[in-house]
Amino acid sequence: MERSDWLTAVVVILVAVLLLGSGPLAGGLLQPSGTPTTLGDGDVEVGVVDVSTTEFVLTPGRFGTAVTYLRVPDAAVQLASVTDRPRLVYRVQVPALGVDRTVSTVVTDRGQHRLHLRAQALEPGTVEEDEYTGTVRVRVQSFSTDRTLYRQDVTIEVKR
Amino acid sequence: MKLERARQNLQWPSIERVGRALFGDRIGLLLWVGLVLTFAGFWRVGFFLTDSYTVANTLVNVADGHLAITNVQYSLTLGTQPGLHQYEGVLYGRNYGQAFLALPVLWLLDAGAMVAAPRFLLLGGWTLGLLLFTRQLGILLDRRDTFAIVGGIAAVASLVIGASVATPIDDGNLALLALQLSTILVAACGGLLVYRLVDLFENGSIAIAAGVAAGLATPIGFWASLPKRHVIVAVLMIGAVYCFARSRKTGDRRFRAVAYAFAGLVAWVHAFEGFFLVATIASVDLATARTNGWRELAVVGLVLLLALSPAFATNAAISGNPMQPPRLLPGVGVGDVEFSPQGELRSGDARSDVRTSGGGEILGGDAGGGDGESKSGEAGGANGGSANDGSGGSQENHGPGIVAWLVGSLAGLAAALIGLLPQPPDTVMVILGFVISNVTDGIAVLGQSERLGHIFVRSGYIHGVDYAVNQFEAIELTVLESMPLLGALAAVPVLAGRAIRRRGRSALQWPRALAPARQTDLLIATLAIVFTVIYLSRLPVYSMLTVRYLTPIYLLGLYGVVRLTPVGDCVALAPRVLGLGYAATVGLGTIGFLAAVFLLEPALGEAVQLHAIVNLSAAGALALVVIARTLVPDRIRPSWLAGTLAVAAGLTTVYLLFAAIVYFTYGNFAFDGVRVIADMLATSV
Repeated sequence: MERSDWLTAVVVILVAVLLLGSGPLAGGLLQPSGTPTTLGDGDVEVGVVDVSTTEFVLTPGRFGTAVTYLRVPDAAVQLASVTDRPRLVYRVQVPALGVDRTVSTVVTDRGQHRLHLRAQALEPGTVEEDEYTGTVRVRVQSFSTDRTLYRQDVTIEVKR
Repeated sequence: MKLERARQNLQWPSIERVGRALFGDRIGLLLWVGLVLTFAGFWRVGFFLTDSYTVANTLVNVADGHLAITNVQYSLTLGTQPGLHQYEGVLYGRNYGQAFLALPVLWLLDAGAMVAAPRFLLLGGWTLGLLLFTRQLGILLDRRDTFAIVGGIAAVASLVIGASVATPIDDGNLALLALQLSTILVAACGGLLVYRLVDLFENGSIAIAAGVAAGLATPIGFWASLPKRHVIVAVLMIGAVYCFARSRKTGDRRFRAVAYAFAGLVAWVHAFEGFFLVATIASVDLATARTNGWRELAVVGLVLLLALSPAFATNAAISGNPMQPPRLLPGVGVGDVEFSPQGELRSGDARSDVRTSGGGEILGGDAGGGDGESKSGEAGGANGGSANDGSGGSQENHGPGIVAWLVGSLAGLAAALIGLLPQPPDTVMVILGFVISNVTDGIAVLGQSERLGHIFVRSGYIHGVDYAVNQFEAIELTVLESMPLLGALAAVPVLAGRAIRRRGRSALQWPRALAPARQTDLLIATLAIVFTVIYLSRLPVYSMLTVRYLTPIYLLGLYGVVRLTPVGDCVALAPRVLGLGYAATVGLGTIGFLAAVFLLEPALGEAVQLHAIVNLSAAGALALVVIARTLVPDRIRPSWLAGTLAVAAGLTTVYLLFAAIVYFTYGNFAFDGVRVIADMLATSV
């Protein structure tokens, strides 16, 4: 065998070891064990929740999209401690516009977490006022808990 | 001597011979493996459009050994899903050909799951693919040792990194994995077949460029891992064209018959597209063949019948009528407008169906309960129904007169012939009526310039399209925005005009007298026209993303682009500019759009439309340069045209990458390494 064939053989054996090692034959010795993205049990202890309430705006869509977008800032959540795998939920509601948006992330580590909500397009012709009122909530949820960490009413300015 | 040969023929074909028959040469193999690795790289395991649930359930039930849907393994909500059909109270799926295609892949995955974790099966497979790719590249470039070392290191790195961040995949997802993986394998065949087709008539470097472009510079890459039928139909169509071209070039009659086999198989995936494909190929084939002896035609007919038999058998097993595909059976539940007579009948109430089904829930959207953001792409939902109802009434009447009459009388003749068959004639008449109305309606659209502009040129927010299902995000690109390379086709009228002026009437020849390459051009052009016209009356419509109904014409159009004389000349003279220009565009384009994403913080629709504007500009520049090069070749350097081609191709690749990794987020990546990167980007988009 040539040198290159040896190298190839080594990699093929490595793959085989990984595959067989992960299967029932080896009793599941090697298992995919990366950070689970599914919800679990547990709770968090919050340091600070920061949502800059002045950044809620309704602005026209760019690049020919021809709709109005509700743009909201990120929610920054400082966690003092985390047990197990709860999730943080960031929710923005604007009843007058029929908007109810949420984003969530499963957390396992303490420290800073950012929750980002994409801008939401609104049906053309629905934005008529100059100002809307919305509600912002940040919650923690798991199989064993569900409570509000932060709640704030915000004024949403319409920029035309 | 004869005995010797007979004994040789008896032997099993060697792996080299099988490989040669499938891939043509080492480049073909490299192309296919490379495209599979790339498509798999940005593969998301999940449902992008809701009617994929039906096809996945079809596969699950076919794997259980029956056509009826008794086991609904995949479901967004309890109850029905778009695309289900019923016959005598029993539920059936659709696209059975697609399900059967995925079946062997599912068996392999099932077998693999007995010895290894599914996630590691994917990772191991990808790693071995990478190893194969680098090894073959080393042999091709005669640098075996170097590539073995590089490939070995890359493979080990992918294995170690991938395994360290790997998360488990649910065993219940194996059918979905098989469905998506089979589409990926087929999509890569698209690149391979375009390479082999172009290689018949053009020099090698253009053929390679065309093969790569087929995968990465057309919407094929966008749909590669999304288990829709469009990629499969497009690739079978190119397969048929390839066989046709080879039969013409080599005179090998076997390939003439195999062309019909490819075409016939389409009917198993989508009966009506199959009908149009067989009809188009048959007309061009019969008009251009050197000989149409009855014996040859009998063989062709027999092969076609064999290729159609799986479709007929499936139809017969479901309803007892081989001519009645699932799409002709009554639909169930959620409104679903498809390219079928049934869709036609229901298109009136489909919109209200979509609306009343509660927007957010059935169609994806923001699933309740604070469960993250489901992006609009996922919301795509029910297949397109024509949102444009006859806005150009007056135009519809005078345009198509003679063509409609011609099509009508031809179809009448066909109806008379088919009427002789022992089939319930009402099915046949429904089908024929549908065929005729599609063609005439499509031709009528040709008179509506604004509408054509929204289909082919600039999208933006198109009035009349029901954006509600996508939460009012303008994510529907036009043909040119999806594939700016097609801008090069602007040279076609110039070239045609010049050919007629120079050679007068001798420029027009009888089809039979055309050279093999010209006959293939004729077939490609006819297919492109037919498969555009039959869908025009349904466009523009929501959930098309890259005008997916027209997916086949992207590959046909690509062939058209590389066959243009100025394009061929410039690529041959400046291959380096093409290659480096493409790499630079992908690199700089990625950086540029990342910067745009961070600085402009675009919403989904804004991001997609930003790509649309940039792509359209590239298409416009390409059109100008290619026309200039055609008119005054001395004043336009080959590198300019090669450069603009490279930019147009590269921008499509950038869009494919961003769409898969950044914009349309659903499901989970097949490879966790990609997930980690995407997660880092996701916090800012």
